[in-house]
Amino acid sequence: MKNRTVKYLTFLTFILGSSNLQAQQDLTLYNMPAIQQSMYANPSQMPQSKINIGLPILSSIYLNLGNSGFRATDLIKSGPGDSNHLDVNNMLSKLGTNNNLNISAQIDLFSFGLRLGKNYFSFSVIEKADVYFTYPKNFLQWVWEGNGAFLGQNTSFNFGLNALHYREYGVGYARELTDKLTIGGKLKYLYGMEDIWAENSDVTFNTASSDYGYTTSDNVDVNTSGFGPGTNPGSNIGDYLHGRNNTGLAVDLGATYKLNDKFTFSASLIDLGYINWRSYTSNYTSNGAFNFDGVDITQFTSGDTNAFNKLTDSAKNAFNIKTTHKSYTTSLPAQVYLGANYKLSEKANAGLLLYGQFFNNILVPAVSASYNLKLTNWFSVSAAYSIMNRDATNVGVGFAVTGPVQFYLVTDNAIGFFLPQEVKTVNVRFGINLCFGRKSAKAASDSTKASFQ
Amino acid sequence: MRLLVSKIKEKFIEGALILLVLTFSACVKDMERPLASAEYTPLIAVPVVNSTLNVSNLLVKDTKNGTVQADSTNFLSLIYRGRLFSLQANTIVKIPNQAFSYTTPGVTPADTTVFNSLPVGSSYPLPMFADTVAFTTSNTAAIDSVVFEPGTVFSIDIISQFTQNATITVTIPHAKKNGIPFTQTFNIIYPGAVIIVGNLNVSGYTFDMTEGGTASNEFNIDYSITLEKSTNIPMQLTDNASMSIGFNNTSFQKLFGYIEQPFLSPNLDTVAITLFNNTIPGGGTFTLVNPQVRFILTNSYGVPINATFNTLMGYNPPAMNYPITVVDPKLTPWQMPYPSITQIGQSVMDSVTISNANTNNTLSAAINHTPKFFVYSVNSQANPNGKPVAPNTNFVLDTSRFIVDFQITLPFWGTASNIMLMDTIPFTLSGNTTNNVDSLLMKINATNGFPVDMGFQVYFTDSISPTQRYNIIDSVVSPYQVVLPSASVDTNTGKVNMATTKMSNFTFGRSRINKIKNVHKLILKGTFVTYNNAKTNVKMYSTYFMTIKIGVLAQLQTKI
Repeated sequence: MKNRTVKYLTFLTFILGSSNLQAQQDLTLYNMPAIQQSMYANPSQMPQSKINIGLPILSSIYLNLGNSGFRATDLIKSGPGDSNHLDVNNMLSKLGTNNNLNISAQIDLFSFGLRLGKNYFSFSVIEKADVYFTYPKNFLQWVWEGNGAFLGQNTSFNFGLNALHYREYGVGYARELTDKLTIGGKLKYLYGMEDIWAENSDVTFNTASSDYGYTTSDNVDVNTSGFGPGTNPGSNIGDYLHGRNNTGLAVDLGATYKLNDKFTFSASLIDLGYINWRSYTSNYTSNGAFNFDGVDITQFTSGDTNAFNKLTDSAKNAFNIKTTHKSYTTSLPAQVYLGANYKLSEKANAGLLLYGQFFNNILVPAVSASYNLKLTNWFSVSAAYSIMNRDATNVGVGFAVTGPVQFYLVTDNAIGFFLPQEVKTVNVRFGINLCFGRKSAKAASDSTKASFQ
Repeated sequence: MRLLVSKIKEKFIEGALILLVLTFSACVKDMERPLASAEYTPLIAVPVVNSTLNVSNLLVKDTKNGTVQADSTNFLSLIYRGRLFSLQANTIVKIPNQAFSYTTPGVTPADTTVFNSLPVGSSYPLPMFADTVAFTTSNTAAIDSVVFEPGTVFSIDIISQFTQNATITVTIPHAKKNGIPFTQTFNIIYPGAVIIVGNLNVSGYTFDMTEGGTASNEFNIDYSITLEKSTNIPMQLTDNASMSIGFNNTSFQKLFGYIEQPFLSPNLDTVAITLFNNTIPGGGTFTLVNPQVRFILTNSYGVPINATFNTLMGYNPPAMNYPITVVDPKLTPWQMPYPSITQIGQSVMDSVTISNANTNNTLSAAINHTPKFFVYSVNSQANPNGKPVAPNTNFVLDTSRFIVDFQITLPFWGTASNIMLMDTIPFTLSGNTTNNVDSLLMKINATNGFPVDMGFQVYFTDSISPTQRYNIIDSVVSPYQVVLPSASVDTNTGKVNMATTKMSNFTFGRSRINKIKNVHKLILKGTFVTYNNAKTNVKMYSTYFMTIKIGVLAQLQTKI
């Protein structure tokens, strides 16, 4: 048993330590089905109210900031005296091979849900903006320590960037198939407005140890949509809001299975889809190599004073950026949730949640343990401890006050609001929903068949 | 009891919350403290130089007039070409301005009687008057014939004492152009003593000054006067006409005759050998197996010329002379060929080469002292045997040239030992350039395909006082060493058979960097010794090359 535990811990440490930790997660919300927005994490989770209406703009506002690389306090240290100082070496020591910076914002423009018997129908319109930026540790190391610290090494700088702004029109359906199993899905039509996608952004640099000559190559493909002449929203708001030909589809899939009176398992696959960007697109490609071993002094002895111009010209030619204007397709960063809940009492359960997000063909994992308590029929709270963004300083909390009008606020890391310098992740989702036709307290208590509240 | 516990819980929670808030506030405030600067100490590696140098890269820019030439086997020679002197015709043959005058003798009584009896409006020709003009030349120079150029001014001034209108025709029967003698007619209108000034064109006329082969420097002028009776004033026996004739700005297209024995070349002159400009005299030895100096004559004068090299030597200022003794019989004197009368307008050429063979090895000896100049004195004289015997004659055209060119050929075959090149260049480090450099490593990675050990040094100097302006405070190569060892050489052929490679590192610590802050000048010094410590003759080929790569690894230190 002990060996097995060590194996599991080792595996977990490996996963968290070696992979990119990406964050646009709802780890705490996942275990709060009282909030209809929990269906965004698992579409099989039916809200308890028969009719759920999300007020425009107010029903759900989501903000997320995550940096898997380092905390502010990793970089800024106390002293000397009454001042702080930069401790870049310490910051570098905290970085993983690749690190992610994620900024996300979502606003529900409108949402509606209706339970009919064992069926639940929903519709939502959500405005989403996400920035996913991957930066390699060795680049910062290279800048900080200088190329002389990397003599003879092929230093690859693989940056990743996907910044997109789109609107999601979703139609959801969930059904209690059996007393134990509930499934759900959501089909989403996507309308893209702006996008920057670094399809490839590989730059390699080598400083030869024998003569310090530079060898560099790049393989960069950057696609953009919605930038350039004629794209200013102010000049043609209609075109901006619904006239662009950037469309896509995505699905959310989920299932909840109540194994017995104590254990409930759940799984979901979110944002499996794509957007085809066709309007105002630009494709920038650079694929070249350049060597510089020093100045050829014969160019000066021969009286050629344009030696440096030739050098810069040859560099420009080597990294000549070609621009085209073709359509391209981006995948959404799909997310996977795997949950298990253990019923502690009629009002409380404990949950374990594994999370993963796919970005640049890399799985970005997180793990969360939660305690979920329904204090009354109208008030529920959750507390979660998560390891995400290669950081274990994440204490999530959430509460929902549910009547005809529901107020809720959920965060995966409350510490970030008080000690932002000590965390790598700060996020919050809050809003006001209208909920009608809720079950009575007793009925609600009995209806935990396929729910893991 | 339950109430008490509840109160305790309440207070505990309150206290915990206050503590939490205070803690969080303190932590956030910590982040708001001013940020002290941090040390930024990157290690920067920079490739500075990567060059492949061949002979032309190394030598051509240093030899202003010399060119490196490869023969069919790629063997190299450095060749200087220059002109010792070039003499134009007008510098050795000059015709001075000429001035002649002639007055007709008075008329005869018979002419008077007849003319006075004629009615007004009648014409009366006087008998023709003839004059012989003697051309002035220097000393014994003799002009048989000459063709003047357009710039030559031929003038005739006429003063008529006749009291009638008159027509005067001037004819030079031995000045012909296309077979037609020169003639010019002047109309004189009475009254008064009439003066006529004429600038006449004699360009292209051949003036035969031999009086039919019996003389030189002479020709005849005939004057024909016809009086037109325009008044009834009687003719007097003293009536006459006076002519003043002049040649000014005289230049010729062709001249035949005898130009005497002028000396044609400057006494003493120098030719710069820029190959050795930066060498330090006495700093080393330099041997060339087979240097050559070739003199090339181009002569279009129809004049025999003899030349003798009175002085030929290498020279290093201020007073180092390295005489070259020429023992070639062809050069004592050099009887220079000249075009015959049938080759008029053409040039004939001749050349003579001096080498160790005809200088008792004094040429190599002079070259081996890396002279910066060749000094020469050539005594060349026209008509060394005096006036040529007829029918031989001198001829000179306005296009005639007497040119002596030289070509110094230095085949790169020999040895060099401790040849030192030195130069000084300004060098100052602006402001805080070095403040941010903590240490510096210069790495030289060189492959030498030349049969020469090459040493290189850069001295950093500052200026202690106006009299001590090159105070050496540090050097790059420390300790001094051969940075580029010679390639190995086949001793039988003198040709390189394998290049050598060497990597050298030179480190500058903080203290050394601080020292060069006040540097004003860099002294660059290169030393060269051919293969095997200059004990083996080596040959240089155009296929030789060296590759030199210089990189710098700098530990920087700055505040951010």
